[in-house]
Amino acid sequence: MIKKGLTFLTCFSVLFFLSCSLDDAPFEHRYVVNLVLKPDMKFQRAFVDSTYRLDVPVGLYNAGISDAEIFLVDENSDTFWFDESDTLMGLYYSIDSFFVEYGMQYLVNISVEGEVMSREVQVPGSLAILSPEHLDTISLSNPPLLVWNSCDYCFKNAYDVLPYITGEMAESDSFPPMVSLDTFMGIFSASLLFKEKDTMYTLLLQAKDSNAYAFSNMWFEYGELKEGIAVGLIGALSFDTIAVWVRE
Amino acid sequence: MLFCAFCLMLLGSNYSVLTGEIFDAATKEPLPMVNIVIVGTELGTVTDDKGYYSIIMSDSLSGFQVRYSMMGYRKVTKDIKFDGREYLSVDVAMHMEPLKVQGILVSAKKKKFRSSASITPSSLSQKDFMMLPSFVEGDLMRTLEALPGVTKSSDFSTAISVRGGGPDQNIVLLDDVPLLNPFHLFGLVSAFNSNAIKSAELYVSGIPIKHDASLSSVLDIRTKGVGREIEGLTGVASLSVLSGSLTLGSKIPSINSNFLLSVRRTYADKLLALFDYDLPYYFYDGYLHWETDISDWSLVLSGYTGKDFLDIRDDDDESIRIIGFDWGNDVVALNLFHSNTEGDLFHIFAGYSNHDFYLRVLDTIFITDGNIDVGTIGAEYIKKLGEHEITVGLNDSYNPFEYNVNFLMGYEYSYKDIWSNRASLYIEDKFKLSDKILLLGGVSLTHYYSESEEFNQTNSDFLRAYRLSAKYFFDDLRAITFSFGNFHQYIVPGGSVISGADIPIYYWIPLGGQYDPEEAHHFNLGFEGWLREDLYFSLEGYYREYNRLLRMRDLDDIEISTEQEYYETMLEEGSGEAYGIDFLLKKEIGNLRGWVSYSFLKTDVVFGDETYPTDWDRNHNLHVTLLALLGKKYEAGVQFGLCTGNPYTTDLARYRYRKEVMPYGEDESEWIELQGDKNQVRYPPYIRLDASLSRSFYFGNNELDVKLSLYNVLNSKNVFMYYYDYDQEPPIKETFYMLPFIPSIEFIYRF
Repeated sequence: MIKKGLTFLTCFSVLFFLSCSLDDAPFEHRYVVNLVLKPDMKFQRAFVDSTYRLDVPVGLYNAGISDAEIFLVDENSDTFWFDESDTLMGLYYSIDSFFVEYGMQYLVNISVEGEVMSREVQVPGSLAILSPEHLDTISLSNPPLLVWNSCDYCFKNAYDVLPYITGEMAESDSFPPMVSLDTFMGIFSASLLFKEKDTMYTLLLQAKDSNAYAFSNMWFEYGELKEGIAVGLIGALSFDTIAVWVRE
Repeated sequence: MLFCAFCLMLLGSNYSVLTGEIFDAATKEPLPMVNIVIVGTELGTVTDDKGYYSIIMSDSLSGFQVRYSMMGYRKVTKDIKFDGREYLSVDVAMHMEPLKVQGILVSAKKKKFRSSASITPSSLSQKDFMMLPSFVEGDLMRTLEALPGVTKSSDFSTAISVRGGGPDQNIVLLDDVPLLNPFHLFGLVSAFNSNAIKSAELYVSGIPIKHDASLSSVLDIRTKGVGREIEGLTGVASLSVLSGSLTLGSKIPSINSNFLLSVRRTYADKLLALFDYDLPYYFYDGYLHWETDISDWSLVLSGYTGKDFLDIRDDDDESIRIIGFDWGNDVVALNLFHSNTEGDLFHIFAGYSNHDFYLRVLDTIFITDGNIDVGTIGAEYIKKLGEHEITVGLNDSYNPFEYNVNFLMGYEYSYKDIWSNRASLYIEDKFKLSDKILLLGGVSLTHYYSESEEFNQTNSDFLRAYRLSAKYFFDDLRAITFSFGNFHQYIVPGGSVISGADIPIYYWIPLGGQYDPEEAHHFNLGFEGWLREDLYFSLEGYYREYNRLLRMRDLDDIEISTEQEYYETMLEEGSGEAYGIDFLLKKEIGNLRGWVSYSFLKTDVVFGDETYPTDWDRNHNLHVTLLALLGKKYEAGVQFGLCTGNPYTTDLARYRYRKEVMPYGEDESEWIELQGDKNQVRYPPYIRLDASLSRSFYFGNNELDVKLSLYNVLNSKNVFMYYYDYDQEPPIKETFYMLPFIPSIEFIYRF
């Protein structure tokens, strides 16, 4: 009996430890790209970077990749180039200004160290908050609806609304954006979002293309841009903002 | 009893019947397989599964002694005087005692071994889960984790996975009625109050044809009644660090009935309120079990209700609710049994089960509520025809459900008029081909119908299920078995109510529209028997093929514009397989009892182009469970588990996400990990040792048990997850561990 027991324990031990693969997964290098087109912004920006080891220190300013080649081609075959920033490695600005148009489709091309990534991006249509009006006073005891126009190419017809105290954008981190599938939202009835009374709040309304939408639904994890080579976000969004005075 | 009465009629009035029920004096549980002998004669019998016995005797016996004996219990001898009656009932309460004699066959287990065409299902009695070490208090579901074939993904959940199937693929039946999400405290403890549960049987192979509503296993739980012999009020009052409970039962002779009522509630919120501390959570549950005989029918009415409440308010303004969450179940079951003089059994059952939840997050920002009902009705007839035992049954299950999701009045889904119905007809034949071979075959035909008036959608399917089991007996102590069958599942979880968390409170969704029921095939090959007369073993290999699995899609792949689009795109279809070996060595009698179980398990599921092992894929699982009777007053329990670590998705690197603060703010920067392929590495091995010691104090017929439990005595650092602390550069890899060493004490007073 004892002999059988020992045999069993020996077999179990061998099998057991064979099945325990250790957490020694190797580091994997990827290029990391972030480029979100926004109409009405003077310049478009792109970041080109790479992944880093989890156990090696990385400074704020020793990240980023230089010498990337970035350009956009629109439906009219017009091409718009990006230049590298002098101030921050890996940051690129468009050379042209105010060229991104609502509803326009662009082919984004990024070439870095011999690897080429490209994406088609459909910029959402124009977006405007219709009600309340900019600088209106909102009474939370009689909350109005926030209403906006229906925007073409807004992926899944889903709109984000983010309220924050004007000038204190960081405060908004405590709440995720509110989502609506319609062109209105009863955001002022959520008193928790407007805890400070007699205060000016900014409401940011956004419509996204499919790439930016997927990114926010993946808890802000980048998706694959090129299998095994690059991750990131190449997308577009439209937005509008108003500021309102909020009281009890 | 009915059979005996019938025999008496045949034999005339020269014979009498001695009948009665034998039960455990402490737990009031009926005792099966008690030996009953009329001293000085060759007359005798054993009690059946419900503790009943009957002996037909000649009237010439006017006075005699009856001896009642069972391994582990003090012998009882009764002097009986027969006064000419044809029918005499003698009920007996037996007291446990430490054993001094070994080597007697475990008759009850052997009876099941001989009558089951597959590996005998693992069963636990109330005594088992009361004696074993507890996590804060005795919990049936936590005891199950030591059985072969059972794995878990963490200590924080009592949900189990069986032979590679997900926690959602086990159907839990309470007196034949499905119970959905049977958990309290977000899954940390189960909904089963130990004082109200009589037994639990876990079917992992050779699952009867009548059960075709889950892909993986059937957990058949029976509520507890009161022995018919109990005079006056009996009950149990218990207090643990988590909750207090009171169980009361009594016979009601005037209506030939007995009942048992059990209620339980957490008390920490009330206790802390005395110190001006507000604990925003509590739960309660209650059980009712009522039995009666009407004519020659036995009727059992049972019910369960349970609710959890969480209400977290804003510190500054209590009128603002940060999180409001409550969920619970209500169950009513009615079972009627009738057996005729030929030993045939007729069983009718009807039941209703409801699961509801209400979740409100951040005031009015997110509100969701819903409920799903299960209405069941069925009948079953078991007929013995020579060497055949034929079971014919039909049942119907009706599932209406309703969900509402409201996101700041701008994002509103409402599912109201969706329902499904499942009507099944089944037949099963257990055939004793010879003394060596037992066969069992069963088929069922199910009509599954779902309808959504709002979506203008109906779905009608006829599904066939089949089972085949064969058992070859080498002798009275050993047999090999083979079984296979196909299984379906008709309701699936559309994710956890708290998404991303290891919390088994699911949104259950009846399948309709383009979603066909899930399907799996099971193949089992086993060997079971006794190594020694008191040492049972089973060894079974299995392969499971999941032809059709459904899981929730990523949100960006779901069409969300309308309720209908959401429903029609929310699930994606996949497949999978699981295989392994389960071994059990169990000593069921003696002063030292317990079991050793070992399970090897391997799973893979495929969704899209992704193939990965499931979260509960622990390849090797060793559990040792020991129960010791130490004299008349002490009992000790030890549970040890050593398992392969659960798979997880590792981080391969990190990247900087430059968050462009909209519309014109400064950039913010945060680190995000780049993850590898899903579940390709494992946490370190899982090790846990639990221990308990209980002492009984006797006060006349009453008993006080004080039980000290030590959960995770070794304080093993079992990993739940890794995360990175970015307060330093490079980031520090931190570990979130599972439950540490937790001592607890329970007081159980039986009267």
